[in-house]
Amino acid sequence: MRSLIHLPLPLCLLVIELALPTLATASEANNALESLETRVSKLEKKLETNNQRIITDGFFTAAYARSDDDSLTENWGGIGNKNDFGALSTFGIQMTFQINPDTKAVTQLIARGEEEWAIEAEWAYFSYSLADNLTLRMGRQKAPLYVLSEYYEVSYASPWLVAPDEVYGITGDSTYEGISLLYEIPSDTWETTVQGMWGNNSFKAVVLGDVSLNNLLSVNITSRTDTTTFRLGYAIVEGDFPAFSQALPIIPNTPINIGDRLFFARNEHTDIDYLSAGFVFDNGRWLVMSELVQLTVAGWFTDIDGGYVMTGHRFGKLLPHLTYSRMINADPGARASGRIVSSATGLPLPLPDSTVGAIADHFLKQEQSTYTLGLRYELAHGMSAKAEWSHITDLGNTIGQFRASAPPTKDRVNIIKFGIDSVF
Amino acid sequence: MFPTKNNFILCILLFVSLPLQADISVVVNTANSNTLDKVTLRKLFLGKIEHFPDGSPAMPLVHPEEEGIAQVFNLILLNKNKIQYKSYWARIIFTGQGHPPETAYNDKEIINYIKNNPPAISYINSASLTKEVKEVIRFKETLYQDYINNNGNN
Repeated sequence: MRSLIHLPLPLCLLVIELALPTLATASEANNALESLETRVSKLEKKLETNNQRIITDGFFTAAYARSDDDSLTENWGGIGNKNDFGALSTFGIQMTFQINPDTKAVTQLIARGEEEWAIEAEWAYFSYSLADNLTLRMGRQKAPLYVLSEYYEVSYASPWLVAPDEVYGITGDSTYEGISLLYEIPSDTWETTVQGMWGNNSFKAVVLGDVSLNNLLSVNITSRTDTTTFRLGYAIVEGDFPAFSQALPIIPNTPINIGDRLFFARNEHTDIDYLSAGFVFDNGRWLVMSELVQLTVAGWFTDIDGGYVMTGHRFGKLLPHLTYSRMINADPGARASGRIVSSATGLPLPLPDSTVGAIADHFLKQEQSTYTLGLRYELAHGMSAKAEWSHITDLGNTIGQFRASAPPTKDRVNIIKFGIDSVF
Repeated sequence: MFPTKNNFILCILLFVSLPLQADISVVVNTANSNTLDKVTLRKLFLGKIEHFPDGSPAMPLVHPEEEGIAQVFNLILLNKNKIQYKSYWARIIFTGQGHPPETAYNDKEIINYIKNNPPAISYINSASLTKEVKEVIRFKETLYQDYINNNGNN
């Protein structure tokens, strides 16, 4: 400052003006350095505590759905002929507790609009790394029956708002309490995982009521490259089903009156087999998915062969896609073991087994085809908007994937769906 | 003056620019003596392995997914565009198989972290490279253009 005193005033002002930006730049640089050091320090602390922390993740789907048929309710999501904001809407939160580098506890809580937003623990298990490529899980977990089974509710991770009913709607609840082993086969090209599971499950089915599925034994092998996934799966389980009772309408040319009921006795120790094969191709532009599944159930339950093929093409943030899915009844009709009980006398009506079987087929056989035209748009990072139109047909005088007091009288139902889904 | 067709296309090309075109260096701590090939790097950044080949723990750091350098790196090394990358981690997270690497916000932050932390591994713009970290592999910008030519800009 002293030297400035001897300078003429205009020159002093010029020197000060020239010096100020330099001082400001130095100050900004110091601030930036401090900020960087603070951020690095925070990052170091964050990473140092990485192994002990609790990680929270979440997902949601907010959707609207409506069908054009006022006599049927779609079986899996409960979509009917009214403005429905709950049927496909889901909120999930997952907490991962990293206990030590080899052990973690995972809990996933899900609330669904279809179930009045009741919170349910879909996953609640301990995971322990037995070796580099071998992991043991104990607790409540999803059975890996099909390609999307383990993350079916995370709509953001699939092209649809709801995956095809003809495959994903035929299994019921796939959450089991049990043990599973995951083994990753070391490879530089194919990422292959073999998963085996043993467990039990009990749940309230929409039509049947309380169902127990015991001693599930499941094994699947999934191989992936960057673009291609192949999957094969097989599972057997022992089912205990309650007695089945269905109110009947008047059926012409029979003694059946309104209020008479179709009745099947309780089914215990029913063998159920799931067989599945899946394929996914995704090169960033083309997306092709296909699965074939076979559900075989002993007794009067309908056996089902189902499958779908979808193809889509990404145009930047847009993914238009088309899906054809089909399920057919795959048994010759073992439903003659039922009885039709008169509401007036409480006694079985004297009907031939073949007649009872034919009537039961109308309520228990399930066949349908669905053509779904969908559009997915990436709204923002981790958030997508979806619109879908599904045309359901080829019911073949069966109930298809619907709930109704009588088999549908027409052979086509249209369902529209709009939704936003996200992961966070 | 109205734009000609060629000018119009040029304008569109300028606005719809590629996220980033520069070399990308994968960097580790200077004390890290592992030889890392693309297969190992893929496994590290996809959470398939958590250790370097010598058995020491590895801690990958990445840029935010929205950043151009992250999108290019994910395309070149992981063969995943932005949507595929997000879907991949959604599947891994919600099937309980893991979590994506931690995020750092710029090359300086990454260099400052890596120089003091031997397990760390990340990637930076090659122009930001300093002697404080060690480059293990460099992805040329032409690789990104090759990828776009072969697969389209998704």
